[in-house]
Amino acid sequence: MNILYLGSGGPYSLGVKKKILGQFKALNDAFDTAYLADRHLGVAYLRRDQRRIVDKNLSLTKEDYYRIVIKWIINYNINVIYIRYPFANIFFIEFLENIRPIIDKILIEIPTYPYDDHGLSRDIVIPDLYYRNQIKHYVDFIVTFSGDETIWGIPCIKTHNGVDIDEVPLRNYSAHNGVKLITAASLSSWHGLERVFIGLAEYYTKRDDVSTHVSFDVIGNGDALGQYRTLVSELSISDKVCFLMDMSGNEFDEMFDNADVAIGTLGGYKIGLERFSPIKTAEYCARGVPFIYAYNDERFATDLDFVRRIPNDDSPVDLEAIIHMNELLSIDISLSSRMRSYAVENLSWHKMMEPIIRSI
Amino acid sequence: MNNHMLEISREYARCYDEYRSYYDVMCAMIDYKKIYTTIKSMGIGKLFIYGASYLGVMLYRALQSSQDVIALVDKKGVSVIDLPEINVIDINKFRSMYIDESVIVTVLRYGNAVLSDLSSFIPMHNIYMLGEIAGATI
Repeated sequence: MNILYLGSGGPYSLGVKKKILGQFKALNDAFDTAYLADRHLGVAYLRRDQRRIVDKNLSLTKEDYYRIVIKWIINYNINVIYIRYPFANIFFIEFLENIRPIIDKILIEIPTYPYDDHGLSRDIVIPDLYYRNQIKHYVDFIVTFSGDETIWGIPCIKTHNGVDIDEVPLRNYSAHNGVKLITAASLSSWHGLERVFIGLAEYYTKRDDVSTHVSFDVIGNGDALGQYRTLVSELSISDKVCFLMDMSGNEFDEMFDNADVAIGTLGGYKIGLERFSPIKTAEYCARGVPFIYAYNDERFATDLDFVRRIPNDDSPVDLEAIIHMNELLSIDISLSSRMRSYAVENLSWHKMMEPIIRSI
Repeated sequence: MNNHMLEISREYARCYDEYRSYYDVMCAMIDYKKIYTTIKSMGIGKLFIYGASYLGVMLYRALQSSQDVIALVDKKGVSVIDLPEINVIDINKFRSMYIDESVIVTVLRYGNAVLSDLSSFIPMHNIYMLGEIAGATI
């Protein structure tokens, strides 16, 4: 049985890129042959294992792209298609209609649901609102991370975001003074980092003698960077917060070596996200860095000592509590390897793709 | 939705995608250094640039210092911009000059027709689309 993973068209953030490749690797291990199709800057690519390009074609529009993909489906004997949701428009619906008779199973993954409040452009939202209700005529399953039983009248396969363990090194930690907080994100307002900044400002202003110094490294770039910088300046904590943009590879990994606590998404409440399974917390776990987050994440039991769930609201992060958490964890020399084992057993993409593969 | 509305919807989606692709490619072309590095990492040496319109000229500017560009090719042998320092040749001259070099096609809208023409005398592994040079997604 051959499967095609159909990308939604780049450019993707680094996290999404890793996710697609992690999912593709899991599918590649489960099927006779797995192909990955995607389109970027007017070119459609068909890849096999190790991202080797086996076919390519000029594809200026999505209409071209879908026409090319149908050709590939026929030429490469594809039985199953896994589609990363590209938002619906007329060409997507026509594509589904055309492949339905020649494909055994059609699955669509919706990376974030609901998404109507995510500030998408009108060019995407209006056609999507009109056409998405037609998807149920052609699709077998929706793959969701939201926990919904059905979406648009289509039965859902529920799963979570995972991590490609091989791509994430274990942190090389050495003891040091103070507490180093870290986050890596494509900075948006729903990351809610202002909760940490205000918490930091309160921590430093409430007491005269600060015994434990706390710093915060923010890695990434995005729409909210400007407002975060302004807030840090207004709170007079510029010497405690370091903004690092566009970091990757070894340099990126080394930043986590001496990090004590990583910061997950803290502003889900702004866009109605209560239940969530972001990639980055799975990565923090695989790296062996304890972390905090503010939503319901079924991948992490509430009694795990290396995670802390805080309220999903606009309250400042309680730095005293974070320092206390770090004190308790820093005496455990097996902490990082324990977190790594947890990630291997529970958070790998192979594990997360299991319910999807079973349904096919 | 009646047929008329359906056709409007289809045309809107088509134009939206098309102009977005132009815009994205042009934005990517601004980064001359990245273009140069990508071409080198792909092992492309001596090359022809097919298309002497704005994208072709942008690509030429990105590669100008490398001395690797043999000529710009245009169906009629004319560029939209006066380029005294480089040959702009027509398709017939290109056919007679071509040996085994790489060709980067910068024509987007009629790109498939160009690819089809070129593949009649150039091996496909020597033909690159501009988007490949400007950056692959995965």
